[in-house]
Amino acid sequence: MQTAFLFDGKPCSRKIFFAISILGHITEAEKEGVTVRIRSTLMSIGAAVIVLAACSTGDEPAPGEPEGTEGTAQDSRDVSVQLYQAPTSFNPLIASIGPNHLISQLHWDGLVSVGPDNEYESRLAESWSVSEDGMTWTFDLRDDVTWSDGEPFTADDVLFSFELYADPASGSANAGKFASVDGAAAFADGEADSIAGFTAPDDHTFVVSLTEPNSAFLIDLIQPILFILPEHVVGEFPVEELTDHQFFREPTVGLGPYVFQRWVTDDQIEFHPNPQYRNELHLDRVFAQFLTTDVAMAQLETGEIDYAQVAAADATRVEQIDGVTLHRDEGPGVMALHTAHDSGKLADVRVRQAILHAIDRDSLVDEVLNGEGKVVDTLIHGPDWAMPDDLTHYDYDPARAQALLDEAGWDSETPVRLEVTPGQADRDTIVTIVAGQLQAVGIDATVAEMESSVMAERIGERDFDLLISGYGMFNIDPAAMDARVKCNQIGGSNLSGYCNEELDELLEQGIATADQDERQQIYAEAQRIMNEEVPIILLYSPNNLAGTSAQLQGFETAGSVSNHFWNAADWSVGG
Amino acid sequence: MTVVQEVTPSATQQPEMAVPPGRLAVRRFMRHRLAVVGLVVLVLMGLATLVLPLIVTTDPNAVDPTAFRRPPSSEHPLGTDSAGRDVLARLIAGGQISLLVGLIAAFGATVIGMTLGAVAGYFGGWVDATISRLTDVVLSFPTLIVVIIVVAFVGPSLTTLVLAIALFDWPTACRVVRGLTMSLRAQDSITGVIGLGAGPLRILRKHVVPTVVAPLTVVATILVAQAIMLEAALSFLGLGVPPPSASWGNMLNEAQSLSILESMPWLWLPPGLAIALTVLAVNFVGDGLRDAVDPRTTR
Repeated sequence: MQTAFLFDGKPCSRKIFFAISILGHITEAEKEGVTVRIRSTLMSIGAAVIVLAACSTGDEPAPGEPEGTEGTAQDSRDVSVQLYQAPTSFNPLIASIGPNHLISQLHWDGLVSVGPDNEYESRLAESWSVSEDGMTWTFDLRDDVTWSDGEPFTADDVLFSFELYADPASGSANAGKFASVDGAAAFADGEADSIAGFTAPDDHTFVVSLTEPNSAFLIDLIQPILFILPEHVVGEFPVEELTDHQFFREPTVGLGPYVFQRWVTDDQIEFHPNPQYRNELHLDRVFAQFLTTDVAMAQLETGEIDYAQVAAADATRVEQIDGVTLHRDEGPGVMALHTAHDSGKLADVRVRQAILHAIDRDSLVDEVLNGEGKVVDTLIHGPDWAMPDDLTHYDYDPARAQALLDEAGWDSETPVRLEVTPGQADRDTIVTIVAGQLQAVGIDATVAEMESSVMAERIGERDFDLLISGYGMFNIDPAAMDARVKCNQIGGSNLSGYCNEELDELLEQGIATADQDERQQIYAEAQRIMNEEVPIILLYSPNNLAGTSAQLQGFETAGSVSNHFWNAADWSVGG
Repeated sequence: MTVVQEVTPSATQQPEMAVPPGRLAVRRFMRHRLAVVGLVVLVLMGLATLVLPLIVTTDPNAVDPTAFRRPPSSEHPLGTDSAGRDVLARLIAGGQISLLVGLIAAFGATVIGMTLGAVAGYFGGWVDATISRLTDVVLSFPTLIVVIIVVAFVGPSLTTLVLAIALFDWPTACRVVRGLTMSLRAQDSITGVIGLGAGPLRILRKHVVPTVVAPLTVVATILVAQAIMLEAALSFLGLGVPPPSASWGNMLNEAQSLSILESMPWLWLPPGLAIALTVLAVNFVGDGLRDAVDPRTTR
């Protein structure tokens, strides 16, 4: 009986893994959906094998482990970290997905990032200043930075990178952020070869001149981080070919602490220390690998992996594992459902409100997340002054939901898909429950599982009904919400394609105003609109939970889960 | 059972020859204790999946975030899963699907195997050679792996699952039927019937099928066990019955989490036991049937 061999024990599990890796390899060339299912199958088999290994105290290394690494060996200076989805590229220009952002934090570097206290953290920019009128931002760059190939890092690299980010032709998903930069319009129209507002007066100074004041310019640089690219390499490539350029799959030059070495498998990457890094590094190799929550938890326990995100339901258990540290902080982001507003399926605001009333968000947080999060009614949850206290709370009220649907004339035959990329245990459970609760009020909701690359396609085609996604750092400045709802961010971070001119105007005022009291008024009004219109269906703000083994020392959380590798340069091995 | 005790065990076939073969087979089967137990278990299982839904009226797909992974209680006799769904209701609904998939897939595999085997055995020559090599090819693949690939390409659904299992699980049935048909074909009586003008279809229908039906039942039983196991394995890997529908295999899916495996046995023990019991029972029944229809076994 073929099924029996799965559970035969260790010698067999090896062969199976071998056999299935070959299969995975064969199908790699085929269409994406297939690799996905094969991959998730591998994951599941991996889980079964690991669970068995954990139960039988096997001491041979698990098959998934890279050659020659012993996760538990005391003298090894290797660290393995989990990625919660499969990484695809080191290209910072294209729309950012969590795993790509994480591997980019190892390989690239940016001007600023967010630090542990939810404040801006100096990186390549040693310091920065803004002119009194809020129209000129000046960045003083470090002078001790060198690319991994020995070329010096200068303001020209920054200038080059920012021009790429502002140029839609490069495939940039962030071009909308630079609409207010002096000369951006002329550049977009083809009247100018470069953007006048970006200048590099000397090798270590970078200046941005704006046409309108923007007191919150920095927030646009950190979510996602606009990583700096090497002009001496990327400058050689045609701008139009950058999106799919092989260089971003296998970059040969880096600026971060650990630079790309090779793809060990389709979803595992090996990093080596950057020989030119400005500080002393303490690790020999870093392996980053996509693992589903269940597999990652099992591997954290057996010591095969040194960092993993922790599912809320597993938090209590992880705290009790010897040698594993649980890192917990209030998450700055949100978990939310997004509909393609341009598809028109959920165009009636009453339908979106009904969806909120149909979901028992309090129980989701208290029970399913074991209290590791909070229900939110607005994207922004910090700083305190930016949060209005008169927002409508959409409580769990199925009767009200049904009434709203009836009012809106909702046809219960209309199929509504809940798009999700599986692998994160909490989210997988949540979508099952949400689908069930929507069905209970007469919305024909079904869960549609898809791999991140398929998801990206659907987003491009504007073909999604209720896509679940978690993101954001909404506790630094209320302007953080701009990227998610402004009209000129459609195609970039404004996933749902929402556009409301009244809201846009308020958000413009918000960044143009320096006075905090005035800003408070503006953002309160903006959030009232969001609260009423429900452009994004907010579920909750989850706590950030991560587990690290005794092998990995110096790990610290800051910002969102896709920012967890911000201080990789400080990592070392314990024991 | 009184009948069984009255028959004196005998070393020769002589005394039993008087009894009609059908009743003899039943008698032999009844003497196989485990097979009888297996049959009882199977009948109970089948009845349970049909009758229990009338008693347990909880919707197996009704979610409840306020009842997350609750241990068994009077309200939920087998507890609830991660989406707050009633495990008992899902076990019953899952049983319907798992048994149905097992039966239909095994039936499909048997029919395919019987047809190919009969054709190969009857015509011989290049037809036989082609079908036999095809059988060898299919047999040389590990079924699970091939089925995983097929399902991965087509996408998981109930139909795909049944078809995939049926299309790759027929060689055993084919070989059995081929052998029997060949020996039958060589018999003088069949040569005689052909001489009288009977076509191949008539011979296959009137002579081959009745002869192979008994041994084929044995093969089919074992195929049912295999199909149930395959369904469970595929659903466990997320390639079987698509959620939110329950099946025993995808209920086991939850056991991939160590927290659940270690501290929440009510989530994986019931479907695990159900699969084990069913497969064991089917295999015992298969054993009993083999003994019953095999003329070489005398007891």
